[in-house]
Amino acid sequence: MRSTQFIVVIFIVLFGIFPKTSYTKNKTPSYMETSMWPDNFQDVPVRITIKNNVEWNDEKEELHDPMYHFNKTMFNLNDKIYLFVMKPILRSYKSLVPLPARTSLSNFVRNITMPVRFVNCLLQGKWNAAQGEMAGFIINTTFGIGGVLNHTNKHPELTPPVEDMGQTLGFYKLGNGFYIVWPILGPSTLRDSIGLIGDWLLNPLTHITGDTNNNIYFSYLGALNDSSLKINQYESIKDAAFDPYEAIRNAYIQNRDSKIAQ
Amino acid sequence: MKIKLIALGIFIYFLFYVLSANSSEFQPTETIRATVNSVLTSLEGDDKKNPDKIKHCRSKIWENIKDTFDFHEISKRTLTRDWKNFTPSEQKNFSSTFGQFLGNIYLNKIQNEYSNESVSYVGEEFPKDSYSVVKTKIISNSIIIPIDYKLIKNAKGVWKIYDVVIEGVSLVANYRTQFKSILRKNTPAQLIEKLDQKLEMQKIEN
Repeated sequence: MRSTQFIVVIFIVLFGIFPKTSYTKNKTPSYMETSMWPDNFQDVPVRITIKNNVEWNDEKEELHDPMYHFNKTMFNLNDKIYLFVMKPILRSYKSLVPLPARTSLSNFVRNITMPVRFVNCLLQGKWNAAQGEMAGFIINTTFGIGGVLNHTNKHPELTPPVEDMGQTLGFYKLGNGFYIVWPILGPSTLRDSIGLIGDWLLNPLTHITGDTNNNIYFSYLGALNDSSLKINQYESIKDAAFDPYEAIRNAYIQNRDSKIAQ
Repeated sequence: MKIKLIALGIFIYFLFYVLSANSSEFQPTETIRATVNSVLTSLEGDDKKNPDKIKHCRSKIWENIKDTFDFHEISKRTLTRDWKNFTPSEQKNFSSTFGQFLGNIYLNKIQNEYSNESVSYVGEEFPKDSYSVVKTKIISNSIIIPIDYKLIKNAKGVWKIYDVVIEGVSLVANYRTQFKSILRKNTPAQLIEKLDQKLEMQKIEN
């Protein structure tokens, strides 16, 4: 009960405080330069903002980053943690635990964390997705031996796109706020960080044992397990980047924006 | 007379309709499918222990796919307003270097990490004339990665890729922010130099 009250309070506070758009605006308005651009030059889908009755094609501006120096320090720290701690662990984990076991754990975690996605679907009024989540959960819990087997991944209607609290807040036009890089957790924004607290409270794994530390360890295991199954995006972006910090920040925000737009 | 004209009009309309239906192999999704399939076939013949074969496979894949990308368009869209500050020869230089650079990243990725992922084609959209988005999903183990290809039809009617969007992250937009901040402090020539350095580093790594 207390956690639900907490979430409601977070909502109320947020809507009072946050500005609706938080992109820093371009200093030279792009509409002044539009004459330079032939029509077919615009990116599709065209993003048009009406400002002072002038239509201009808004290239997405960079995210507000007032904590740049802190963030960059954390980014470098995380990079070292990844390289010297996480990567070796990941490598031995991958060689120790066979693929079917890792897939099963991933399925189990995905299934049991259904309430997080379900509630966020409901909060955004995505009824079909919520139904899909619920139906998928019932099928996998019963026929999938408590979620260890995934019978629904071939059916898109039963595996809707993952929804979280940060996306829900974004759905209600709450801006990103600003960019934060957390130690270990990595890139986030003010909005998504608050979303994380909400998701943490909604997550059954948070309540699975009485001990908070155990729950945190289990969450780490889940994250480690998932990254052992995935093609490593962090390294690919980093290797291909001229400025890794900027590349990751941009990738994070593009990824979040696209999820909110879904 | 009028009826004859209308009939002729309808006939011509259907003629074009049939013709365009027959040329489906040149449609955006088919372009992507052909490219992806050619890569997958080449990868099947790849022997990961034999360096000569890896090299051979690599150049074969590159030969097959490089014409599907419009590197000029990609460069233009990446540099946007700064593109005008490049001289024509710098533009040409940049396009080809950036193209090679992107190609190397792609080839490294796919040769090192490909392991029987399957590709499904989930949709094709036409947001505007001569523009198309082909939506695909890469399914590997229990993880699904959405990849969208953005294509533009050139004057010859051939569809070419001008952007790749992986999990909502546009490649062009990602480099745009980086190049923009480099060009704030450097000249176009210096940017090309940086690109060349990166390219050399890629060669050493292989």
